[in-house]
Amino acid sequence: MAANWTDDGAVRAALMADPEGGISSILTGMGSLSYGELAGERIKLGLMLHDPEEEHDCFSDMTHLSHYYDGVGIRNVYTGRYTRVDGSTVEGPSLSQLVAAVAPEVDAQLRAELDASVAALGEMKAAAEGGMAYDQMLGLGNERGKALIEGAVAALVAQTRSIERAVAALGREVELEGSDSLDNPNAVFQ
Amino acid sequence: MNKPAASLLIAVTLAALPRAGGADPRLNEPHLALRPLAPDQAARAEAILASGPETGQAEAFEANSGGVATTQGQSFRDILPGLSDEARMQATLGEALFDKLWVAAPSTTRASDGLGPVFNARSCAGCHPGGGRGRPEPEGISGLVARLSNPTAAGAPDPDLVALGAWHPIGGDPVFGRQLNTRALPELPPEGQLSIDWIEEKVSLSGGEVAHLRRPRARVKDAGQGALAPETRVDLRVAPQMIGLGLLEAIPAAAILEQADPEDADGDGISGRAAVAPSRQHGQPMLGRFGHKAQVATLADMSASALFHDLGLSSPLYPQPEGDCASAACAALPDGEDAGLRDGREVSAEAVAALTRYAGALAVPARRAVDDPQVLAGKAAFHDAGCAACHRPKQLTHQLVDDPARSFQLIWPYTDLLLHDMGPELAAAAPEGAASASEWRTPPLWGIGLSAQVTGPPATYLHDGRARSLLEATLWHGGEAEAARDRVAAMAREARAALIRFLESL
Repeated sequence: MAANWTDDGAVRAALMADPEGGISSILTGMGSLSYGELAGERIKLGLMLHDPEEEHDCFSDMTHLSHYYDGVGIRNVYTGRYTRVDGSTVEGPSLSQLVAAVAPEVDAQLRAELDASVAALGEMKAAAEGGMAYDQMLGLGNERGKALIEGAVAALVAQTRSIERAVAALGREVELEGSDSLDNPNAVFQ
Repeated sequence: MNKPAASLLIAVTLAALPRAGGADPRLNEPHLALRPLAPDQAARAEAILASGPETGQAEAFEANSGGVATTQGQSFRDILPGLSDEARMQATLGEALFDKLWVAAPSTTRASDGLGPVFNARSCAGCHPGGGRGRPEPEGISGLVARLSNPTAAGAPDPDLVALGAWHPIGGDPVFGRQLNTRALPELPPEGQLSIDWIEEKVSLSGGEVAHLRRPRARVKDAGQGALAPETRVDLRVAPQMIGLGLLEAIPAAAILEQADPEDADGDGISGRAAVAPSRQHGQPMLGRFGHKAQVATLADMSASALFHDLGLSSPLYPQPEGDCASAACAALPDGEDAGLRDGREVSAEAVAALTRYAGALAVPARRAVDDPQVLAGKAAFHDAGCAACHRPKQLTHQLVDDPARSFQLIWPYTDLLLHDMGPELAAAAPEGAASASEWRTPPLWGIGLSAQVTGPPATYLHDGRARSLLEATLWHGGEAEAARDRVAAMAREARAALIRFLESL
């Protein structure tokens, strides 16, 4: 995987070959992971079913870490900034700067919401590390666990809306999983 | 309704139903939150429905088969745009349930167990590949089930359904139930395997063209729990495509009834009947909109029925964990129900609701090549042949509260949702719901040209997948559609090719 992202790696080459398509890929990935995949299928479904086996990492019991770092990863992609394991950071030009150039208010809101998601997922992680395992968190009758999970879902859904606003601000058509593009309303009987 | 308990339940709920002034129960629409049209909207609705067909050019809005909720993609699994946050999340959860593989009970994954003990598939997606139609495969049969009907196991007539013309003296097989379940948990032999012999025949058309039709003869082999009862009849049914179901559910019942002509009063040879179907969800008879025989009223009823009959999963509307199996061996096996969890059933009402929301949230793809000269010639041939008498091009949905994707939309489903007699060649072995053996609900044609693309080739058509092309499907039409079929067979070869091209553009 690392080789794919080196200066002449295959994925980097594919993204750089079509910069417009590359940016669309970033936005599609952020939106689809935030909404349909993470908030919906990976988090809310388990809560709805109250089934310990419906947690994302049911074998390793690392679900709280998966969810938290997925949230961090989405933010990293947007801000173009990554904190290495040794604590040092690597950063460069970012999608955030691109959005800020055309719609600073959208960028500010999205950054705040990405922070809020990481914070909500962080509360979930802290609770798990404090003894409430994730499979207990989604159990029937665990009101505090339910509130933690629902808080994370709500934050991820909120940031999806702002990702859509960023898409609009950049004048792109991007289909997010579970939120396909609205058809041209002018061509529809009203 | 082969289960005594279930029949009783329906009978009791129907008997308890107040009948205000003998109003037609098919007009009941408890599944929709309606907002009446303003006078100017009603006038525009009337005008748009009365307009057309224009066959020399594409009509306004024609390319957008699903109205505002049309997807520009060519997938059958795109979710309607414009859903509320809550509805969209519910549909997303329903999508995960649609793909979920269920497992045998008992299992550590308590929310995912309860499969069977007899079943046809382990997931919804197993029979609706890519959201498209099932088909009879040469090896292993995917998305095709055998409906079983037995006239000696009918049970007591339900007076309400009798009065509504929706009761037939038919039950399921005494052992196998209403459907042949071709798979089973390891403890149990499957009910049997479905074997289809195809009988080929040739049909001559104008211009020297010859079509090859194949007729299925279904047999049950390797019956695992004793043979089928001698009186039991076997009918094949493919899983239907899933797109636009939420829109079909939102067409005003009154508009569908208005298009019906049960006694053929206008003498055009076409006499659509609006079916009545008992809704378990609402505990009352309603208009039958779904299923090959219009035997199902709402998508919630359909979802719960499919969970029960196809996967062997109980839910509040089908509270029997042993599934569609009447044998003691089925009842003796462990089930996936847990007291106090999931409403005490294998699938909770909440999960059925999510699945139902997903089933109703699949967008219809936009038309392709709507302006192409050959497509327009085919459109003219479609109307000239009389296909549009039943495959009604356009319908208008109700105005709905907080549901912009489905509210007051001009849609192009190419169906009247009515039952039509399709003649002896297509007739089933038994009646079902309000439909006689030879009556079928007009299936929507939208998306039909994408069938092969969404499920992978080859696409097959009609209720049992007998047709290998759209031309074959057309040529099977009989009964009320026989005159239209004959016109297709007799039209110039180029016009026929254009007609098929038009269908492929839907």
